[in-house]
Amino acid sequence: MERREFIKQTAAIASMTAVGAANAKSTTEKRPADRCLRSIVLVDDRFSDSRTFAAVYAEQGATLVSLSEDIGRLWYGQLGELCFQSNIVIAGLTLHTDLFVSQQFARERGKSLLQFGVHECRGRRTLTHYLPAKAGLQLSQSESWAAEVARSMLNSHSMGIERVAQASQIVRADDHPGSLYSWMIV
Amino acid sequence: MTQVLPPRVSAKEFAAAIDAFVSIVGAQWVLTSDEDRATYTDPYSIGDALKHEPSGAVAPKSLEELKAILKVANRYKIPVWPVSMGKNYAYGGAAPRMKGTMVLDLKRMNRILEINEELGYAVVEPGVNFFEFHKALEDRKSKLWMSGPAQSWGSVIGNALEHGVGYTPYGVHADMICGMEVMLANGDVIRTGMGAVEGSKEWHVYRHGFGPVWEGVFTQSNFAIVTKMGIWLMPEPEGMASVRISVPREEDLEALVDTLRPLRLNDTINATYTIVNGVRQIQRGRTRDQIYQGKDHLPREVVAEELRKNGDTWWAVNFLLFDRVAGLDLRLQAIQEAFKWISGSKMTVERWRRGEPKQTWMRQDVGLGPLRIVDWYGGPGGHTDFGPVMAAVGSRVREVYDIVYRRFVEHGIDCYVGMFGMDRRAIVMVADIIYNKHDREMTDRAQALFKTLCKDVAKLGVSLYRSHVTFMDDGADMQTFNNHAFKRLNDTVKSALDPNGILAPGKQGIWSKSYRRADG
Repeated sequence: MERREFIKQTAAIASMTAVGAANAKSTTEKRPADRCLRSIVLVDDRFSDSRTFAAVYAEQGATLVSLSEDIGRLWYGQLGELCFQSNIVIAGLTLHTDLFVSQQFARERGKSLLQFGVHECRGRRTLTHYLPAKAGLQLSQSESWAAEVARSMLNSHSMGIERVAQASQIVRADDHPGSLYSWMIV
Repeated sequence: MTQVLPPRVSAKEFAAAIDAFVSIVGAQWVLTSDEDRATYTDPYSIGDALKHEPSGAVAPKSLEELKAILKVANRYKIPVWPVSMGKNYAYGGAAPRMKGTMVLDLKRMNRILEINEELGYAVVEPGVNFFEFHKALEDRKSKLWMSGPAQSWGSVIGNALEHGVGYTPYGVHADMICGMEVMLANGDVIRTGMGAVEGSKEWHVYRHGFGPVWEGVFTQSNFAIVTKMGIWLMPEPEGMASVRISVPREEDLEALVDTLRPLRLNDTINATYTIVNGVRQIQRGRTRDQIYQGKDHLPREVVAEELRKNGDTWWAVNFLLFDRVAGLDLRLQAIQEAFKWISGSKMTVERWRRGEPKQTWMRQDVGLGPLRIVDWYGGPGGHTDFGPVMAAVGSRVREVYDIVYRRFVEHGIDCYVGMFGMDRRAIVMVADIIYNKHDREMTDRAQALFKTLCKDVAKLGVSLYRSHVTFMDDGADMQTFNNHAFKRLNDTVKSALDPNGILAPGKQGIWSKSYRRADG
């Protein structure tokens, strides 16, 4: 335990701002611009949007890790070991806690949140997306929004965490939990 | 970079103290930047996290470094807030009670000093968490079992000091403490109990040595810093059973409690039991939005319908039994007999015997799964727990539960309750107040709910088992006997052991002459 980052395992996600907050901080963190990045995607099998998101990554050779296994055991096991490698990107479309826990463990390993989006439909039939402003992503009005978000992330290099809202007419999937978070840690 | 200072400490004095800390531990272990401070705020903050923002953190590696840090803290009057892992999120995490207090991060003191197979104990430092402890036991193929809490990334020492609970016969973790090493505010190192004898071989096997038993005094307090602890471990049992008993009607709570009490008292049920209410049962890994979209408290009819769909009932109790096979048979028979009088009660059982693969229900694994309850409202979520302690008598539990449930409904927050029969004679209710932490209106409601409940149950003579840092004074205010004599005693001890009041000001409502609650 000689690394300063270890201390930060206490970390809160203090820089993460409220959904749609106008005064969100932006960051200048950049994704390494090489093509050797290896992606690991956490997939919550309960949610079809999470599976769709992961499938896009899988087509590009990503390793999928199911969240049916306990998130803590994943990080203390294989995921934690892999994350020490510098060329690893970890992504997912998950509930907030899986992002929160992953961010904490990743921080110990010198990695940080590059971007995240929120995909909300609490109490409604249709979705509103809060997406990284710098991504400039305009989602089509189709049910494959999760795939579009995944493709955008696969190609992103510098996002920041400032977000803009996009209301949509897309009807939520039957199994959508109300709030899902798309995220990428580098 | 902004600077947060402790009360009544100038920027110049603070800078001098920081320089001194750096000379002790090295620059990389003194953390004062904006980002550093942010890492020690409460990720589940119930309202403004900056109300408990530290001025920074310092992380010693050894007793010598810790002693030197306290010397500097005394010289410059820098208050420090010791944390082991800082993961007790529902209660503030690493955040101090008083803004500007410096976090004393003990995570680098993380050695497992001894695992004694013969006598069934371990000796650990504050930075050992349950994941690492579990791995150490597995790596050496130990025949001793750990009693772990719901979340495993917390500290073994921290959990015991905060009166944490597990699900084995060793589940009252504070009762498993045997022999501490503590450092007082003046740097003096004390070993409690038999450890007071140089070269003692009984330090971690006998709790009631010659003179006062001090271990309890150093739990949930700010009188000293615990640097080592002996903790008893359970030998692997020959057999186990997992029992779930459901009772059908909401009004069956009293009967349930009164039936459990004699079984727990005579040790037929020989580990913590957990009574769960309907709201808690219907979650089943789902978010609220998947069940109900209204803004109000979950209506009873919605809860009832969800319970019906899943074949559940208003109340259920879960517990583990530990014994050899024949003993388990006798225990299960006695339990089944005892519950016959509650019409409609159902009991399901799973069993394990030594040599068979371990099962999830045995709770012998480590993990973080229960953290997901904060996704209930969609997130980013948080929760804090209202934890009244009640005698294990049905009428008493009903009296408190009814108030708790009513207040949750009035405040529009779902009443998610588990009641822990950790002690033979008492039940700790954990009413989870779950909220979206970025919803200011909701966190205001959650705070109001907690404070209202404190006043309500205090009128019944009920107190809490712990609280979030935000509510520590509220908890202490409930201890009213003889015009708050308990607080006067605590303050007297505090003044004697820590005259500058540098250790954890405001912890559990214990302040000092140097700081008052107005400072925090």
